This record gives sequence, C-alpha cells and structure tokens, in this order.
Amino acid sequence: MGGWQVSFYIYTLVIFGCSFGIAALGLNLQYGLTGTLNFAYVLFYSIGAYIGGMVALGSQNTPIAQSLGEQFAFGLNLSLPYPLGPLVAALAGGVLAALVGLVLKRSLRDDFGALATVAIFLVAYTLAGALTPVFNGYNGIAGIPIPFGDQNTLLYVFVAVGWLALSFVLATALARSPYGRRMRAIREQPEAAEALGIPIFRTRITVFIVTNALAALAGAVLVVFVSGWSPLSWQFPETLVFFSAVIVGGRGNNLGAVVGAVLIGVALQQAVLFLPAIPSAPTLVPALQWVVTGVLTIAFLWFRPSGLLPERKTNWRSLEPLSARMRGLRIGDRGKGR
Amino acid sequence: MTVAGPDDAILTCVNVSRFFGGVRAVDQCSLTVQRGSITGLIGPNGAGKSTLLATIGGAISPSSGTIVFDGRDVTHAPVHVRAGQGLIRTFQLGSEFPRLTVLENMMVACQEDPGSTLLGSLLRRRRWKAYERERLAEARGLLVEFQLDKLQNEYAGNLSGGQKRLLELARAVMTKPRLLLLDEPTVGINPLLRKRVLDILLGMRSSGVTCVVVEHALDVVEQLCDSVVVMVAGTVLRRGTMQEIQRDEHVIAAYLG
Repeated sequence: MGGWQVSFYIYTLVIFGCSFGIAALGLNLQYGLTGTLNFAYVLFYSIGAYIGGMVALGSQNTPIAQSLGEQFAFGLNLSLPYPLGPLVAALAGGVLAALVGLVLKRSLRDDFGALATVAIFLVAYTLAGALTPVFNGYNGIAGIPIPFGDQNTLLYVFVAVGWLALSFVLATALARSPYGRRMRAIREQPEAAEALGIPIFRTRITVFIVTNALAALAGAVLVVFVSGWSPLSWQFPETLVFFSAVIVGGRGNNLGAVVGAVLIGVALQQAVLFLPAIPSAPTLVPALQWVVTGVLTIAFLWFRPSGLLPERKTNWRSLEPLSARMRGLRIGDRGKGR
Repeated sequence: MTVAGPDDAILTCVNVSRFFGGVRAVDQCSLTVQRGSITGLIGPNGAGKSTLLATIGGAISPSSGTIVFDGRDVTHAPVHVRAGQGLIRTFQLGSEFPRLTVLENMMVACQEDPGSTLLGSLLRRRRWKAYERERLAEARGLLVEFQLDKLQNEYAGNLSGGQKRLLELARAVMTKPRLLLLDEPTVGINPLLRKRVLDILLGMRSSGVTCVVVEHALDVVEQLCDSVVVMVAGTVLRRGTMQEIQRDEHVIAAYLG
C-alpha cells in the first residue's frame, strides 16, 4: 500500500467530512434552530450533487466520456469554471426548496408538513430513477472530473475545507443574530412568536430555502470528488444520517452539527469497515452502520437530548464593540455585564 | 383601507361574529375602545370573551363583521401585521419560549430590530448591535420592574407559572404596544406581585397605552378598568363603569348572581 493511497484515503475522509458537515449545518439551522421537520433533506443534497456534476461534466469528447462509451448519454456539454458549479447547484437547491415550500405552505412545521416531505421525497426519488433523460435514471451520472485536475487533489481538499469554513461562519453569524433568536422563538412557540410581530411563514420559508441551498452546496462539494451520482447514493436513510448528526452533535449548536456529521457520517462508517466480515452473513457488517446510527440517535434522545454540544445561551457581551470588550478584560470585570 | 371612526376610538368592532360549527361563540358583537383607556371584558365561562380577544388579535378570523384598529381595517390582516402596528395580545396559557432565556424572550419582542431580516442580520451587524444594546438596557429595566431580573439568564421553561405570566406581560410591554389585549393577566400571580402588575398597567395607561383585559377577578376589574363590558352567550349585554354594572339587574341575573 503506497503513500499515495494512504493520503488519498485521508483526502476522501476530509472531503466526506466537509460535505456532511455543510449539510449538517444546514439541517441544524432548519431543524435544530427553526424546528422545521424536513424528511426530504437528502433530496436537496442530491439535486446539488446532480446539478453540480452536470455543469462540470464538460464535453462528451473527453477521455473519460469516451471510455464510458454508450452509457455516456447525459450531460449538458457544460464545463463551468470552478466556483460557479457549486454556486449554480446551491441556486438549484434553493429554487427546489422554494417550490417545495410553497407546496407545503403553512404546514411547513407541523406533522402534516413532515409527512408531506416524506411523500415529496418518494415522488422525487421515483421520478429521478424513472426519468432517464433528466439524470440518467437509475444508472445515474458518471465521469465528473475533479476540479483543478487529478494532479491537484490536495488543492481540492483545501477548497472543500474552505466551503465548510465559509458555511460555518455563515451559520454561526445567523444563529447568533436577532434573526437566529427569532428562528428559535418560532421553534419554541410559533403562535406566541407571531403575536409578537414575527412573520412566521416568511421566516420559515426563507430559512427553508437558504438551508436547502446549503444542502445542495454540500452535495456539489462531494460529487466532483466521487465523480458520479445515482439514486443509490441518496436513499431515504441518508436523511436520517443528517438528523442523527444534528441530534447527537447537539440541536441548535453549529459546532455540534459538524462534530456530529464527522462522527456519524465519517467515523462510524469507517469504523464499521474495520470489523471482520462474517462469511455466513456478508451484508451484516455494512448494515451494522445503520443499526449503530439508529441506536445512538435513540440513546441520545433518551439520555442526552441536548446532544454532545448543547445549544448556547446568548452571550450579551458580544453586543458590545470589540474595543469595549477588550477594555473590560483588561480591567478584569469580565462577566460583570453578562 | 382606511375607515373613519370616532377620533378617540383606537379599536372599533362592528357586528363581529365567530361561529364554531353550530356554536355562536361570538355573536354580533359591537365594541368601541377609547384611546388610553383600560376596558374590562367580563362574563361567565363560555361567554366568548377569549374568542373575541383572539378575533381582535387575529389568531381567529371572524365569520362576519369588521374590526378597525386605529383607523385601519384589520379584519383580515395576519397576526404579525397587527402586532407590527402595535396590537399585541397575550395568552391565557403560558406562551413563553421555554428554551430561550428570560432575557432572550424579552429581546424577541424587539420589533424594529435592523437584524430581524436574514440579510439585515448578516449585513447590518453594527446597526443591530447598536440597536440591541439600547433595547437590552430597556429589557433589563423592565425585568427589574417585574422582579425577574435575577432570573434573566435562566431558561424561561424553568420559571414558575406566575413568573411565566409576568414574563409574558413584560415581553408584551417590550414590543411598545399601542393596544394590549390581556387574557386574565393576574391569574397565578401572588397578591403582592398582582398589585405590582396592576400598578404597571395603570402606569402604562398614563403613558398612552390602551388595554382590553379579560378578567374574572372583579376586584381587579374595579381597580383597573375605566369601563366594563359584560358579555353573555357571545353578545355584549351591558357596558358601563363597574358601579353601574354592579347595580344592573340584567348583569346580576346573568353573571354576578
């Protein structure tokens, strides 16, 4: 096993971690802070992967395309310069979210809304598989080149980390702002929030669009690395992985969401691979991943519902200008004006 | 749409009805509330007081009739639009945000916060921080008045029932309301604090805030209200001062007993 393979393994883990981390941040804002239950979350991740892949596929005369031969009957003959692909993908995710949000309308939060997202997922999943001309049906799309070329994989790893960092900064700024406080108020008591003047439908749907766009971005970050996407990549349980990440990491805590995504989405999945295979039941070990994810989620809901890193109370000192906070530290009256 | 009403009326309800199936919860109610007054809404259980209040607040839309708030027809305006115009309603049951601290609960009520939109919260950070610093001081002052200041960093869900009512009231004051709709504001609050709540409400009246109060405790109504509306079976039976109401034989027969 050469050094290149080891580093490629590490690159793979980092990029999966970044992609899942971005998606978990989106779900944390959507579910952890705002309380919207969206069981079609992976659909938005997936539309990002498809669109992000299609706009990067390039012309059908590339060596990859030629080697795929007849299977290569898809693609837009587009090869957008790099940062455009994920941005277009995020936009697509946002547009799809706006459409779904308008279908759900005012049930965006309640039980009917949650059920409707399951139905929407099943319809979309079936269509994506059956409608060959759109995303090549169950065969999916393949041959997506990695940005900056095969020689520069490490560069792309850094870019993926950059997307995660950017998403984290955005999510944190939002969560700690007055808007984030309003999102939490809507989660806690929508009627009371509305009675205080908060437009709950507008807020929910805005959050729904932005966070699902984040999910699409996460999909686009991954797809150019794994080079293909098909319905097998986004089955229903994948949504539950993201929910587990947010619940285990800590609902309402952005750092918790990223930690949860790395734990559930990457570490757990990899750990299972190290278990010895059982010859009489070859599918048992891979399936254990789901069992452990499910058990862990339920255990957290029972024994530590606030997760590894619970939601934080507002630090009111952060309202003061930085200079004032520094002065306070020097005089030593830290915490006085909590 | 602007509707002309008497100049001194902040709220006018004309023939407001609300039916639930065959139940006429509110039946052809007409009501005028004077600016700067405290109006009591009393009546037996099931008289339709809370439904009328919810209809004025917008949580329930009327089956028929018109509601005019400060010259504007708000009959079909959404709750948050009415709240934005200063028409604020409190609830009969606790409506605190349990997993927000007491102070966070208060700050949710900042209606003109530059950070209350998605873009504003990200792009106008300096402005909303300045705005919130100012309101934060105000919120802390109100919490002192309501004797909740020591609990300001506690989760609202951990407060006692009475403290939750106080918090809800303080939060409503924080919105800078022009018309407060209060559903049994003193239920569950101990007698000492009850006196304090009444003083705060009277103080708000002198600063120009109008109140409509649904209340069963007649001593509270007597101390607080300039005028009293008696509702029975979804309709307005009588209206007058507490003294007039207490002498009225129809009211005695229907409610006071």
